[in-house]
Amino acid sequence: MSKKNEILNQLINLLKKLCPKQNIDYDSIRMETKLIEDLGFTSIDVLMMAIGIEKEFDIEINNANPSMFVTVQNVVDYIDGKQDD
Amino acid sequence: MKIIYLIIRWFVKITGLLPFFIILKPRKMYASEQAKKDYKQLKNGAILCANHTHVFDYFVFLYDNFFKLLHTLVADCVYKYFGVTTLNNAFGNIKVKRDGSDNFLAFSSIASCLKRNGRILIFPEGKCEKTKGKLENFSNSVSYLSLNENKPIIPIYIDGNYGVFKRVHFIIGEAIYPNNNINDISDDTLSSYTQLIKDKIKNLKSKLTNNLKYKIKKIFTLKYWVMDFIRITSIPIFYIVFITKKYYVGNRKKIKKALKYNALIVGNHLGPCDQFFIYQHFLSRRIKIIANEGLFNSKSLVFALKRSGVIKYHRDSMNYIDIDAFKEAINTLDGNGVVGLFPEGHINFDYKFDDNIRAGASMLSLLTNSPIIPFVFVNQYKYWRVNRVVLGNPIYPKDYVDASKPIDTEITNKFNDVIYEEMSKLFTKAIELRKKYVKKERNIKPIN
Repeated sequence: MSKKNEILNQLINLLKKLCPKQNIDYDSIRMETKLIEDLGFTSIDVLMMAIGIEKEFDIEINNANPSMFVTVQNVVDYIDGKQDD
Repeated sequence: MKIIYLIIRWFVKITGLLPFFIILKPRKMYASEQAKKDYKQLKNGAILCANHTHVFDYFVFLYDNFFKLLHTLVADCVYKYFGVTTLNNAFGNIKVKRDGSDNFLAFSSIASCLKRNGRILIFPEGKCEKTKGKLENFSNSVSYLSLNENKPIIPIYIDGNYGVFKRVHFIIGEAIYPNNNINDISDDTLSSYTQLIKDKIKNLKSKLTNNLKYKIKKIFTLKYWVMDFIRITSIPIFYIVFITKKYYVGNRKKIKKALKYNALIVGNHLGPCDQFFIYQHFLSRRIKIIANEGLFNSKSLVFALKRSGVIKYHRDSMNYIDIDAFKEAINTLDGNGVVGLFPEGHINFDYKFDDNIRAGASMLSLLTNSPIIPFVFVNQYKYWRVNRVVLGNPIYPKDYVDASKPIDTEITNKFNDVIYEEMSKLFTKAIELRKKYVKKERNIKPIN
């Protein structure tokens, strides 16, 4: 399994724990899934996810910009990039 | 022999006082009110567990327990120096073999000390840290002693900032009580308990770092000189020109108690100068207000805002979640600072309270275990008039949320509803006061 797919699976498990929503099928989340438009995340959900990502992946999220957390792909790429640093 | 040891002990303690305060100058902090209570009420004995940065760590804790006997576990390699054996015996210290072999006598001495309700100091790393701030592996001995003797552990983090023009800081955390339901002390139990202690000490490290970074000193600090200047110099002007009457829905002492450590001040937003009035109402603490990024566009205000510790928050777009601002608020609260925010997110010029307040305050409170102090302006501040504010009892997250469950957005939204209810009660009181005292009434919508 590639590293990004592993990160994706970890991220999905994290979202199930931190942002539980009954109307979301977490197992159908893909890289193209948009956090706000497709999953209906609010700003609180994104913030909770960011705090959870820092603890789970032992990275620091800083200098956030608007395009950082639009899709799941953006999030996975960011985590992957930070882990390589 | 006991009398000789007593004389040696007090001679060393008294003669060492002056060099201690000149060279070490330690500053003690508590992680919370509960940590302070736990530390001061160690009558039934406890194990102090700290990281080890330098040989001076021992003296910091020795003098912190000046009138008490602190039994410290000292490595056998130290005893090779002349006179150290006598000094260690005088101070009631216990020799242990660093390699962990044949410490039966040491453990039985420790056990008898704890049975006599004594205090034990253990450095579970066993040696000084190679890199300051990076915790080494913890030995399981501290967990074993705590579980076997059923004594709590007080976690402490010390930053090892020793030097001529430096000052060492240490922070004391809440006591960790051993699980009484454990019958068999296995290796797995010990390892998980040790990991818990290590994690607590790591959290204390981040709390201390944030405490020092966000400068929560009460009176004056150069970093936030504008805020301190406004608070101090405008006191007489404020109380003469903007006469204020405070109404308390609850107990005033509870608010004072809540403000000793981390706290979130949450209020309604009536005018652009609300933050300055909040500074004046909570003079005992320096408050970092979360303010809209738009304010920073004004060149005249930017200078003052940056030096007042205002946290810039980009709130307009759903596609841009300002994580940096949020983390700054979390770090401030983690360091026992005070953060102020307006959960409505905008100024309400027509005096109403929004039905949907944002859950940012709820999230900050839950993640940092900070009480929320609700605060309502009855009217927009006017000079030469009596201005009224309503303050409510602090809302502690532990009273509404199960601390053992991980925090998620569902819990955050439920706690947000609790905050909204409390703010609504204060707002209802504020409306009564407005109807009674404000001559020109605007259309005030009752809260459903």
